[in-house]
Parts: sequence; structure tokens; C-alpha cells
Amino acid sequence: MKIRVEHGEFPENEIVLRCKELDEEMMEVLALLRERSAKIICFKDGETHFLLPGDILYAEAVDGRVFIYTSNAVYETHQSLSALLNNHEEVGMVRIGKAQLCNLYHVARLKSLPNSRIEITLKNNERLIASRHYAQNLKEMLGLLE
Amino acid sequence: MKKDFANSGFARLFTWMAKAKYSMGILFVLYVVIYLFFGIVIKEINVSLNFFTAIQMLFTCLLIGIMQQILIPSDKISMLRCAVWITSGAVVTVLSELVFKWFSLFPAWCFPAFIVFMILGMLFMVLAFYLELHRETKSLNRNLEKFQKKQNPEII
Repeated sequence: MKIRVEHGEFPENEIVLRCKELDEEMMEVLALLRERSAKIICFKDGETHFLLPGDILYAEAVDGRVFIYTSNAVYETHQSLSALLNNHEEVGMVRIGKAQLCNLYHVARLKSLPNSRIEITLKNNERLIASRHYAQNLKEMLGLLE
Repeated sequence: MKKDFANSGFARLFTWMAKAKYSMGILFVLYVVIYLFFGIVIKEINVSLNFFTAIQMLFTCLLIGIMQQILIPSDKISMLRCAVWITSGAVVTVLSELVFKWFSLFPAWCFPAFIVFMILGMLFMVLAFYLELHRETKSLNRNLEKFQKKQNPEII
């Protein structure tokens, strides 16, 4: 696929995809653009914020409330963890516990632990643990299990 | 309704026991080799392993193998569980020696030395678990890197 970026005095940013047919590659590009442009509504200190899914480091449910963690703030959202996962799995979101999701693009390293768990170190040095059940899920997503 | 044999209780017990038998085999070889090695080192006695001693050792090793399966199955490995397994393995060996008197003709230092070798053998088996974790960590990170490179929108 040829990629061309044109710089100039355009009224707004525009992406044009040219193709003979919408093949798998083009569909992936389209899906990616849609995901990147969809923002998540969340709240902090009574204010509404719009977050890009890619900015989420991890999310967790505590006492029925869902919190989203970014590199510099914690937000609350009305979306459930399942909804976050279903809508944003393609941007690297993976379930690592019954009440936790993690964005694989913000993971610095992984460590296999006894008891079939996995320690996840994020790029901001926060550490999360993928439970035994969901560690399999994580391995599957990384292509370690067929 | 005809029960699927592969999922039957017997089949599951059989595969569970098969895993215990791997440890049993390794420990049995260790027992026999060290026992016979002492025979070479100690010139005063003529050591040979008779059939009944071998069977007694085999059952002792099977018991240790079963304890390994119970205490440290592959999905529940921890330092504490490994320590409990090694300690209980040593206790079983001491009890077996008290009952079967394998080392009655040997000098007094032989049985403690035997226990030390046995514990070292078990430690090496535990080390294998941790090497496996290390290997898995490496492949996890390799695949994570591939995943991030392959699908990261910023790189595309």
C-alpha cells in the first residue's frame, strides 16, 4: 500500500483512501481510523472530558464504578468494562482480571509469575497482575496460545 | 449414555499419575545412582541393589512424585509450596530409611549425604520450574514487542 502525506493550506484535515476494492487491508485501515476518532466520554471533578481510547493505560471497576487511568489523570466513565473492551479491543485493550482492562500499547514489559499469573509493568512503571484465568487470555492475544 | 473414555475419571487420574511418574523416575534414578556410588566409594562393603530395595525406593519416589503433583501442580507453583514439597520429600526419605534400613551396612555419614544429594536433586527440579518461567517471560516480551510493532497505529 502506498502512503502519501500532503502538507498545505487545507481548510481541515482530510484522509482519502483510494482503492480498487475494499480488501482486508483497507478494511483494517478504516477500522483503525474509526477507532482512533471515537472518543470516550468520561468525568473528572464534575467536568466532562473526551478521551481517545489510545490514551487509556488501564481501566478498572471498583464498587460498580468504572475508572479510567491515563498517564496523568484518573477519570470515571459510565461505560462498563465489557463495553470498553468490546469497542476498543482493536486498540490493544485486553481483560487482565475480572475487574481490570489494560492497554497493551502502554505495556513496557511482562513477567511470568508462579501460579500462572503475569505481572504487567506499564510504561509509567505502574504494575498490574493478570490473574491466572485472564493470563491465558493475554497469552492468546499475544499469539502464544493457538 | 456411553461415557467418553478420554474425559472419564480413570483417564484423568491416569494422566495425573503420569505426571507424578516423571518425578518418580528422575528421583528413582538419583536414589539408585547415589546408592551404588556409595558402594564404589566405600571399599569395606560390597554393595549391590537387590530387587526389594529397588521396589521400596521406587514406591518412596512415587510417593514424593504424588506429593509434588498435590503440592505444586504446574498452575500453582510458589516458593512456599516448593519448600514444603522439598521438606516433605526429605521427611518421607528419612521415614523410609527408618522403616527399610537401606543404609544399615553403610558408614553413618552415608545417609545424611544421601539426603543432601536428594534435596539437591529436588532443588534442581524446582529450578527447572523457574527456568521455565524465565523462558516464558522472554517469549511474552518478544510477542508483546511484535504485537506493538505490528498493530500500533502510530507506527503505521
